Amino acid sequence: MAKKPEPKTNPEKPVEATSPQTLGDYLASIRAIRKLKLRDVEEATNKEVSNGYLSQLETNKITKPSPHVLHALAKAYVIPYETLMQKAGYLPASTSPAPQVLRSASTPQHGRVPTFANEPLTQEEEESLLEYLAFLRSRRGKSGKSQ
Amino acid sequence: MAKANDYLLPDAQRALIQKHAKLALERAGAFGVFPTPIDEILDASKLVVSDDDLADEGLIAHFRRKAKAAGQSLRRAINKVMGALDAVAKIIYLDRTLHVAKIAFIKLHEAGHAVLPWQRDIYSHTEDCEVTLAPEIAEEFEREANTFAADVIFQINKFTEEANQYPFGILVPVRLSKRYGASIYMSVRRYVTESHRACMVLVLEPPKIAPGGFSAEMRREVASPSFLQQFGPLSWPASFGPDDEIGRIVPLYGRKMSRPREITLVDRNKVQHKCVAEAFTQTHQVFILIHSVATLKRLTVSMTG
Repeated sequence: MAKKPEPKTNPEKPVEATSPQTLGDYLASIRAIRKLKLRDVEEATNKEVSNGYLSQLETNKITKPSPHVLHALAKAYVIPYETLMQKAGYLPASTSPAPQVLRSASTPQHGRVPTFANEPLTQEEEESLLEYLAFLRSRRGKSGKSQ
Repeated sequence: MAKANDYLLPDAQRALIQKHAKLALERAGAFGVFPTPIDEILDASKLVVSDDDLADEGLIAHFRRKAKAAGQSLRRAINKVMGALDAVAKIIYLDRTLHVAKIAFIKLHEAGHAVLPWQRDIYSHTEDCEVTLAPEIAEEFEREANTFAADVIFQINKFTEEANQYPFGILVPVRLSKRYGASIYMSVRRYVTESHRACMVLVLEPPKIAPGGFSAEMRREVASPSFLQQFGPLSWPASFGPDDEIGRIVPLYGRKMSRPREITLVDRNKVQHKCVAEAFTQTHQVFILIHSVATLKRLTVSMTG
């Protein structure tokens, strides 16, 4: 198996965009800083992201890649996965209005806690559930096991 | 209205999920162990299932005394939720009033959220921060978790290989469901979606008495890839009754099955095909399994005037 190429810059220091960029522009700038070829990234992601796909991402021909692609790229570039998810528009702040649609407390969205549910939770319901899960977790913490 | 396909993923993504399901099975030494040893799989994936029942009235009351703000919103949330994952603590919570086969699926569904690295890492973030996943991504994650759960419980291809040793019929997945510890619903879906035959299953609500006999509403339709290729999406009615071809197959008066009957379906090229339809019900829903057996003739439309 081919050895994964090492990042050429300090891997501990995440590279942040200095101005609003598209996801594609951001990915292209990171790859340039890392001095990696498209094929290097394909190898570094164990072929999860092909060079052709990455090229289309960087030229904004593909703007909505699957999160698993972003995860693989974040690992290869040693940058925070959340940054890429944010740049792809997959992490709108739960308390800020979504583009064009003002999100109310009762709008179904259901995107902070993984559940198996028969219908989506509203923001308010999800926050209550998160608090309840934290409460259940704290009970385990006190006793060392569930009570 | 029939429900959308809650397993649908592109092929590459499907293969990636399968890779992680296979790893989870291998870590637990679960291949070839029946029923699929779910607790061992969770254990090997360092996941804990809480003894606490998510819907426990005493626990909810205790919590509400401590957090006065929660009130009705928690009650509504609990009414909707059958299982949840605390992604940071790696603890799965369940509504323990559910059927054992449903609980098995939900455990593995939640495990999918914790095992698939791109889900685990973002849910750990959203749980602690004031950010939420975009709805389309949350839905994609649900489909991925469903696919992971199905791949694990049916041990990737093992269920299908075993099913293919028997003549095609509705009782094959029904009987194999017990062996794998899966629900009949899940087993019938798997049987169809992984089949090389042109086949499909209509899942109907239990029949209700209605004027003129009964009415059984369509809940979901699931087809094999070769069925979709040949017939495309067919437009089925929203409900079936005693006067239509499918309705006549619905088992009534406490019967569990109806004998196979011939029906005719028309494919994308307007060619008629002789198909066999048979039904099974275990009261929660009715399954109508349909498979194509012979090509009949091309439909011709005559123009007059």
